[in-house]
Amino acid sequence: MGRAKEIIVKVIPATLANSFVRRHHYSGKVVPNSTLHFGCFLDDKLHGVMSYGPSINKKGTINLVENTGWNEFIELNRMAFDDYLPKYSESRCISISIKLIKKNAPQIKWIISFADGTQCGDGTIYRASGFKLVGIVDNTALRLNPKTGEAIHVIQAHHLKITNEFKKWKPISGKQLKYVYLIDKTCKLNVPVIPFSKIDEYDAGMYKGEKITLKQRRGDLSDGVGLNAIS
Amino acid sequence: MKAELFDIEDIKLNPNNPRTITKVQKEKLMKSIKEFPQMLNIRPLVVDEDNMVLGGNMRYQTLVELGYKQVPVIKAMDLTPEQKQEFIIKDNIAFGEWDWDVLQTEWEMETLWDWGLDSGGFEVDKNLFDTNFKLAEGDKSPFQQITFTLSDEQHTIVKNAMSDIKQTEEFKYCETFGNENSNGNALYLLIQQWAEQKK
Repeated sequence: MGRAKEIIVKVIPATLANSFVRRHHYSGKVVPNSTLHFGCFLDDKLHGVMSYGPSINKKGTINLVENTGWNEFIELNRMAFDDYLPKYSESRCISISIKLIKKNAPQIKWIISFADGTQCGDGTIYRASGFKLVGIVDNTALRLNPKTGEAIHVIQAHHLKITNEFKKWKPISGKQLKYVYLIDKTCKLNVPVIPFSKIDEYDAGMYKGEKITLKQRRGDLSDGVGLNAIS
Repeated sequence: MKAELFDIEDIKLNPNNPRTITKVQKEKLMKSIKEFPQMLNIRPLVVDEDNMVLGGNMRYQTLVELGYKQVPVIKAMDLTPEQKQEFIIKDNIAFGEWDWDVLQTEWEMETLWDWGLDSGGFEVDKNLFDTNFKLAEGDKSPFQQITFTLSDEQHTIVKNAMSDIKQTEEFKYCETFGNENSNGNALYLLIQQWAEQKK
């Protein structure tokens, strides 16, 4: 664990979190309905942010877990860390944030998050943090604006009132992976848990924006090439 | 080009120097020079033909404050004004990124701070924040909001229809399901009447 143990996690205001996310998240974008932001501090500086909020598609998500009440789940919708943080920081920060959610919002029974296998990764950090993989789908939500080359999410297109134009754009090639963390271990998923090995079968492997299988990464690890988390 | 020793009073600060230094950074630079003065020979100041500093304005100011009388200097002759401007910027650009894993393994972090290495990150006092928060509880709100986009013409028709139905007896006795938003109730009544007509 090393210096990751020294990280302090605090609740920070949206303005601070968003400016950090804009600078350090691969998309450069924030999620407007994030309502809970954790800041990760090391050596007296802010080096990471995790933003949580209600799922945009709450009705479509709530049934993932049996008997979930309207306000009993939350989405981890942005994570941004700078390179300064040592190995295992991300999973440690997630772990602390989950403990804080358990303490301050005991009504939350589970957390959902998505890994963007088109531009970022297949969810290495989620797997290292105890999340269960519950979905691998072809990406349709993220599309490239052919004029600007900018990646636009379907929700962003809706807010920008360009949905009709958006539908004509080509989705970015790759998968979206859905992960769930059960805070309340008595909760039951309504969907099957997908073994992580399926990530390679679905050709969904990605790490730091590069297409790479889990198998190749394990090989790299055994050759001594370090990766930040277990996969 | 070889460095030569110049009298510090012959060197001029660049009046248009685009770099600034904080008090803390200056203190670190001062400490760094005191502890490792050989660096000045290895990495001398760079001046133009008029002895104006092109590279090392911060060091120059610090050396003056430290009471240096002579400093190693490289004189860059024959640079065009454009090349001087380019040099001033390029001299301060660090290409590449630090590998913090290597730094944290091979160096003492405290020493790196002392040397003036910046960890990046946002300088924010963590003590301003705590670990308490509240999130929404309970069931879904029984009220919903819907946003529509209408053309000006559609907007006028819808608004007039809602205004008209609000004047009727039916509106007074319309089932509101606890909703106190009159526009919502008017829209509901209009649609309910349309649905009745369709039967």
